Amino acid sequence: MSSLIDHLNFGNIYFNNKTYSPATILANIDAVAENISKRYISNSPFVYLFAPNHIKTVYGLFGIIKAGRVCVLVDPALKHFELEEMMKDAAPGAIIKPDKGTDTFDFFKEIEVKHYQLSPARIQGLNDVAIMLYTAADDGFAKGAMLTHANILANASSINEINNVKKGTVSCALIAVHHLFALQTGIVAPSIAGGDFILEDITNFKSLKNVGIQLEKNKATHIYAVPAVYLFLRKLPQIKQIVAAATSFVSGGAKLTRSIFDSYRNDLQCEIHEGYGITEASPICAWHGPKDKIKLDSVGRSFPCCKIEIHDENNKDLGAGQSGEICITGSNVMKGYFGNDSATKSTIVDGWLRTGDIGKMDAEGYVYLTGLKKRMLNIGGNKVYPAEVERLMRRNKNIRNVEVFGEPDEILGDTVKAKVQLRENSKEDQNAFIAWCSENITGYKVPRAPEFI
Amino acid sequence: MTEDLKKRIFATLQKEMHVDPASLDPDSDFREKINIDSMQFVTLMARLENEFDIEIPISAMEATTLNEFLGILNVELEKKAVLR
Repeated sequence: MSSLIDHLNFGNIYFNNKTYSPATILANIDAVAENISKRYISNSPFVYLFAPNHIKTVYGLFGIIKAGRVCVLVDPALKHFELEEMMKDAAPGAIIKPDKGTDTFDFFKEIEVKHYQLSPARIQGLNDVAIMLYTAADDGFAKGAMLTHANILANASSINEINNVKKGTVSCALIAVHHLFALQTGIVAPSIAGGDFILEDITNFKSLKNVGIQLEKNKATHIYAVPAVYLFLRKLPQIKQIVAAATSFVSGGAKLTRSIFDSYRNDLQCEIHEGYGITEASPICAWHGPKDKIKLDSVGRSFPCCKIEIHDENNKDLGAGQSGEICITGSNVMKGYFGNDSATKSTIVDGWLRTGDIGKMDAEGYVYLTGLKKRMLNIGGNKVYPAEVERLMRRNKNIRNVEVFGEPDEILGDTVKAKVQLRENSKEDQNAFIAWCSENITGYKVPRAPEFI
Repeated sequence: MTEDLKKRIFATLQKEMHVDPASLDPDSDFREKINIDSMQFVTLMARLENEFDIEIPISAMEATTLNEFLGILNVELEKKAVLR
């Protein structure tokens, strides 16, 4: 097995107005790996990494993998209901919560070792898994998508190949890196290509103000962002200087609106390319390559590491122009869902990953998304399953019933809406209900203006 | 700013921030109080731009109190009224 660690080839990392050299980065990764190995007492292969856009996420990610463990990537804003369910499914041997105020780990403070022992049968055969991410599904239960070293490498190498990332390029993903798209484009891909990259904590107001300065100062060549960030960048007075060195602009997560695309193309002569991905495929499956003609309604063509076909219910290829389920095969397709063979078997059929997304392909191989088979919402790039939100909300004792659904939204793609039925004698009002949701459920899943019926 | 406009702005803020803006001290740091991050704030700005057909300047990101933020919105709303 080829380990991701054997392929590391760092350039510089620019973070928080400092430059981190390859030697510094590698020394810190080694220190994390050594500390984990020395202190580990569990037989669980899973180390949870709360992953802000921070230099310590790079140290943590590769340190965990170097220590031979599986990095479970966690949204730092995750609330305890969701975390509790993940830990029940895959109890961790350690949890890393980086303190964002410093740039080196205080190991005893930031790496908590756990004592959980898992059944050996449950954790058998995970040696080739590098990263696991929890992704919800139609049944409302999150599942751990196991991505092997080979999966991660295949997708990261394709990013580098198609986007010409190499020594001398400067990548920057202005997306939260607990999303696989940002982790791959912004961290892993340049880290195996000898390319430099910029890390920016985009959730932080001070850092967001700094984004333009850092992109300009470090001459960013490859920018990856969600549409809302492109909107923000466009407002910066020095936008022309900021994008002066950039040769590639990629948008992911949510649909790029025509007005944002036109504003960059007409005013800045920059074309923003869109792609398509799914966590279970590590994640990128389609992309408008730099040499591809842009077809605005399309998400581009198959990525080098995979093949896309549009299948019918019987997993038969429908050919060009026909609408069906987007299916993927290739070295980027996950190993499966942790501890859930039935979900794995219904998702990967005869070597094809059934994405649950409905689309079609034209004669030139461009893929078009036309709908969803699964009941899922896309909230500005965050995938939300109504069944999961309903199930979590039912844990509120004042609720008799709740229906969660989406409403199209031109900024975020969808917004979460809810119809809530309270129990008799319940004194819960809208503000109290929202406050309860905000305390227990991750922010983007909380409904906007729930309706009480 | 008219009461009607303020009501409409507050309704948008409430949907986006999950907090009733009228319950906040207009002169204290509202972003800290409601725990809104910068990406949510960018989304909020985009939503207000669409709703009122204005362009909110990047300086709105610097506003820490609700009154400062409303002041910046008011300037843009007045500019739009003059242009009409």
